[in-house]
Amino acid sequence: MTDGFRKLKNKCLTAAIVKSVIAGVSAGLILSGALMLAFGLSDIAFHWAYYILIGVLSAAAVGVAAFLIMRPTDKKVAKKYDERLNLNEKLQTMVEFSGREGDIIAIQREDASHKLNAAKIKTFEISKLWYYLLIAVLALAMFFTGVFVPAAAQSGTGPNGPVTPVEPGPDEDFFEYDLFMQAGVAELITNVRESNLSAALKEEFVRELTSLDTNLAEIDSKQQMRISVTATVTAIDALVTNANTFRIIGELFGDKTSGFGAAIFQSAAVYISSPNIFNDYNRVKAFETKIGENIEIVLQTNLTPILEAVRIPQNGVTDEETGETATMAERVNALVASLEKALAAEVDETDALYVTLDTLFQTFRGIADDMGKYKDETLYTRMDKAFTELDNAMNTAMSAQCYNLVMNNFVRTRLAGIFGIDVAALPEFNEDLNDGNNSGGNSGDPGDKDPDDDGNGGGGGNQDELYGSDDMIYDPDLGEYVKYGDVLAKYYDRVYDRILDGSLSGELSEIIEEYFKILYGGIENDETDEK
Amino acid sequence: MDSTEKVKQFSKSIATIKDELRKDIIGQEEIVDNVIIAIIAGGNVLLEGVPGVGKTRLVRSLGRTLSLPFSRIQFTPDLMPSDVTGTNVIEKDENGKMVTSFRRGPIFANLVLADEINRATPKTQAAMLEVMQEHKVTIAKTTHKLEEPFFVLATENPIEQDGTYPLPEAQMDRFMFKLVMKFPTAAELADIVNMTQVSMDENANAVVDGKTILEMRELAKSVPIIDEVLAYAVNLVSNTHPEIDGASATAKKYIKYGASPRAAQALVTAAKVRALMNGNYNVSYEDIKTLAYPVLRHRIKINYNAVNDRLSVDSVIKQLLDETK
Repeated sequence: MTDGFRKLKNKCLTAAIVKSVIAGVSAGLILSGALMLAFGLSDIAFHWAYYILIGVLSAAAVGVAAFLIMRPTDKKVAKKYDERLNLNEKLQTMVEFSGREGDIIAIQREDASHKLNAAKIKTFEISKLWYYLLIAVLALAMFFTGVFVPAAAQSGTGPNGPVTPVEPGPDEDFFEYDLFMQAGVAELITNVRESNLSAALKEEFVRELTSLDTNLAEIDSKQQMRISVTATVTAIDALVTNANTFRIIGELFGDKTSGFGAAIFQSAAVYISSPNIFNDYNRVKAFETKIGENIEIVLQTNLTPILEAVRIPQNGVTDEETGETATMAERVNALVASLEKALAAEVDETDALYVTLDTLFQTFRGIADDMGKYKDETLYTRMDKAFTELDNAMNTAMSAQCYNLVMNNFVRTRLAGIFGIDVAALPEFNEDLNDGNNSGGNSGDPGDKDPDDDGNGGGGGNQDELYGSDDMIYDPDLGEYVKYGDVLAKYYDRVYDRILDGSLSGELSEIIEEYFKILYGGIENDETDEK
Repeated sequence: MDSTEKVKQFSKSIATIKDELRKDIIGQEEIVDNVIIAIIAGGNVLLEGVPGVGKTRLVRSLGRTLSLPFSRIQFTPDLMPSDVTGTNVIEKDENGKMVTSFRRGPIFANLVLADEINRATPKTQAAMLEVMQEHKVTIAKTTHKLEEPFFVLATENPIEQDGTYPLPEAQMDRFMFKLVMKFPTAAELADIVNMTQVSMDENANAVVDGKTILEMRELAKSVPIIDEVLAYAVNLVSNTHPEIDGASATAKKYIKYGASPRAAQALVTAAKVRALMNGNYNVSYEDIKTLAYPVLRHRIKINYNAVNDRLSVDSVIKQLLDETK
């Protein structure tokens, strides 16, 4: 090949190298810039070295590929300059016939070389250089966009100027899911597995807690931790709400203050009257043994009047005060109608509470049909038997549902304790049961409250808020006198721990429990008398 | 003179020939160039032109310039093949014995002007064309070779169609070029008139001979052509065929039938000569594109669509050139 052509080829090679480098670097800048922008705005953190690595690798790949495409071969160079210099295929002929001999071929070669040397070719030229420079400029723009835009977004600088950051500083908000927390959650899961929740509900509880455990391992901010814990609590609340049917059925009785409505709601709420704070599984187990007893009192209180209302002569009785006469049929039919209305609840028909009420409904419908056929005593016997069975069955049904609420409460309290969250900051749950407890039953609320009372006088309250008198008492921990109600919970906790570990005799334990019940729940005998 | 000198001398020789011809021929540069190319390439030319544009004068001047014997055959409907090729006659020798001898016809020349070939009968046309193809005459089992270089310039009068026998396509294919001699421009006509007012004689002198033409012919064969240009020429001829797979849109729409492989041969051979003639030592796309018209215009048959769209053969060839890669 002639020297002139060789020089020409070297020029083309240099231009190809320059273009390939520009293309490769541009590709690297665009790719790394795009990734930084995408991940940065999505709050996905990568070490900066990864972006550099990706940029370098893509630059190399694109650069090499571009060079392989653009690299000049003799044929390409000849064709390019034949067209550019209007040499009518002289150079291409020279290249193609470079290895052949012949007079004309030699002359042709000489002629082509002469024409090439005579042509004015720039020392260095890159076709469409502006095009490559534009790409390079755009690539730089993309890269700097990827660097600065996410940083600006994170610094809170918005279009209207700096925005007050909502999040605390990185050090203050830092959260580490340490071993203690992990152990606490693991123990909580164990407790749930050991509990007497139904198998399905238990599995759901465990699933939610396990999911929380997994999520917390990935979280490094307190805010996100609170969000996760709150979400788990909300999910578990929903599980219990869906599992329990007392609310759906009880609402259909209309009146929550008497009769079946009161029996159901107050049975569910017996755990509220307990002075326990369910932050320990042992307390849950201890209370579990007493659920039935407490519910029994509620049922006796509320079901007895219902029985008495229907247990009248078939001919009827006249109220001495009002002078109104009511027959057994009327009373029975009213009861049947009330039950029928409640049984329209959209619940699983195998639900224990539903079955209990349905059994009663069937019995009294039968009694209604048999009116006039049997003597009063015969019907009374059936009624008594039905109500006895009702009592037993309803106790069982409501004990289970109350236990669900207790476990729910336990999980909420325990999670709040593990992660240092204020229980009051968690979503409200079963607040209506607190209201329901205000009127009758084994309620812990003060009932008629003194408007000047600041809320600490007498009566019970929520499991996490204890009421006491306004009397002052010395707090040895603080070394000062404080309101009685402020230390009551602390005192009770300490005593209850002793009761659980068997330090106190059974009789003494009962006395102490009774004492604190009185302090929190009011005097149950007084409440019964009031009804 | 060694080969290198001969090569360099080629274009000079051509220039000299053209200069001599210009003494007798005014204008018609393209016709002169193509006729010279055809002679050197070893082909024949079909010339279409109205009477009086200088067809006979061109061939006669060419004969003088190339130092080649020239003959003119005026074709008429009653011309017999033997009138062209010659025939055996019985005559007395010097001893008085009756012997048969072959009386050569006007075809026995280096340059032959076959005037108005389309007026001859197909039989006479066939005899003429056979000679053109094979460069020999066979009479009564005796073959008489024609002297090289042998070149036929056949003419057709585009005006008169009555009493003519248009050449069949297969025979048209034997002509390397079909050239169309246009009526001279006003300035050219003025020059012609001025020149012929002085003298009607041809003034061209001999500058080369037949041997030189043959040498130039051999030389032209070795002009290099790159594969891409060769492929272009081949594709161009292929694209004239509407029936092949991948036929060009123009061929499908406007061509009834396309050119034969002789067209590709003629194209490349002529392109090599043209390249040397222009002082180039390789065939270029320009050579192929320029020669596509004389090579293809008598070899492709346009259909009614072209007529309907008022497209001439040359217009169709132009579209083919644009479509060919």
